[in-house]
Amino acid sequence: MKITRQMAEETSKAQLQKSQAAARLEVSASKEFKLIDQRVFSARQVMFVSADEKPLYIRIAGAEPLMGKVLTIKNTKNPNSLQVKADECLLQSKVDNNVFFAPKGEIVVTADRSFKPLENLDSTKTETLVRLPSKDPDKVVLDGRVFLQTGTVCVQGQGLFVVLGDVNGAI
Amino acid sequence: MVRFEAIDARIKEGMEKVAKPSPEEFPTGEVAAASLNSFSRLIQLKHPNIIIEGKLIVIQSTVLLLSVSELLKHIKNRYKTPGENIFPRVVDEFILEGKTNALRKLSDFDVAKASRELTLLRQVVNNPSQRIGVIFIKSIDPLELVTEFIEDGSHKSSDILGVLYPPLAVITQDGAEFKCETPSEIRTSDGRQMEDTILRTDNLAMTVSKVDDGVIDVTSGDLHTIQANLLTIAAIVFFVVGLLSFDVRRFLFFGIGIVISFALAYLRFWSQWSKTYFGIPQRAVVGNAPMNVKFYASLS
Repeated sequence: MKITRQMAEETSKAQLQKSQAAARLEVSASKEFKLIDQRVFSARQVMFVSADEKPLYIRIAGAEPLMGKVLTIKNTKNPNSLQVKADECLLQSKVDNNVFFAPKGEIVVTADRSFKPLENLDSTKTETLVRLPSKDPDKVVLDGRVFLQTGTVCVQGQGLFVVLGDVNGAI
Repeated sequence: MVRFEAIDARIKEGMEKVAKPSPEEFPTGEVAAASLNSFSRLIQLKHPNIIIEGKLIVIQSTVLLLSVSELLKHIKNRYKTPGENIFPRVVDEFILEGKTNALRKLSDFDVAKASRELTLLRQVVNNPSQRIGVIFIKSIDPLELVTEFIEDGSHKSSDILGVLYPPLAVITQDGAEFKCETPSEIRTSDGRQMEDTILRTDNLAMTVSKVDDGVIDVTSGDLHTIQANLLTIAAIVFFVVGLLSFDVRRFLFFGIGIVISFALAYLRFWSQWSKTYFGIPQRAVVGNAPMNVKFYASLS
């Protein structure tokens, strides 16, 4: 498969982001962390890096368990952000609020996917038809044909003019 | 021309590729998904090519593919009339039974929006047997049909693309999106097995083999059902007793029996009190009519 210019740009961008993240992590790791209560976060992208030589254990729904040192998860096309949820307490870096340390426990990353047209199809919004008003016109003239005491008249058209007359009915 | 069998073979080949992925087939980052048994209620397709009965239909826009039964359910549940909801019945009469005057039953209501959709749908659906067909539409709310397409190279700009019957094949290289319903069996080249999920794909080759029509009409909303049934039975019993009394020339009992039976029937069915006490039965359309599909796609 040929590497297109776009793919090359994306690769270099990803490498840049990775090095930026690595730099942030390096700065934060050498500073202090504080214990926080918050366990649920929202982000477009999340990176997990093993704190030591031991690999990360990764389970993806429906797949065999995996192992690795650095894991990056991001939403590119899904408009919803990722939800990152830890089941144990986290430590937050004092210098970078977006850097955390999880001493133990499991962190679950998920993202609701929505299929907009299906939401339309599944819509439970029911429109109750409105009863037409009972105040009916006394006289309706259609191409010379006169109708007296008719029911309410509804007019539809792709394009139509409406001319209002004065109180005496003269136009 | 691309044939249905060729698409079918491509999907089967794709399934084998996904089951035993090789690095050459899937360069880094590329993930393919395939299924020989999936169900989807709605599929969004960009610029699809449709192969059906040896014909090639090309639609140069984004369209939605769904079963006719599913679309009818949506329209029936979209509007209701206050009190006893007669809208689902009107839809059946107007669309499926061909009764052109069925809309007159809604003459007391402002049906400008609803009648536009019913009239549009009636142009392509007018027979109960079409419920197992599929339809391409441009939008659900409001309903917009496909009015511009290319059929075997000839451009149609004033015709409406009507109901199509499976089996049919669809291919697109511009993107597709759909949700697979349980019990779909999907495999991906990265080893995952998925059941129900929303798939966004770049290239898609798909065949629709049939529609599983599980849509039914149900009536609900009755209150105090036991009392209502007892009242109905009592009315019938008094009516029968009255008739038997007439047979044995006991005219007094005959009169009493008939009067009581009619009074009970009035109380049960026609009185204002019965409408509030027993409730008004409401008709609703439930269930799904997913399309049974096979596909091979590269995930985006």
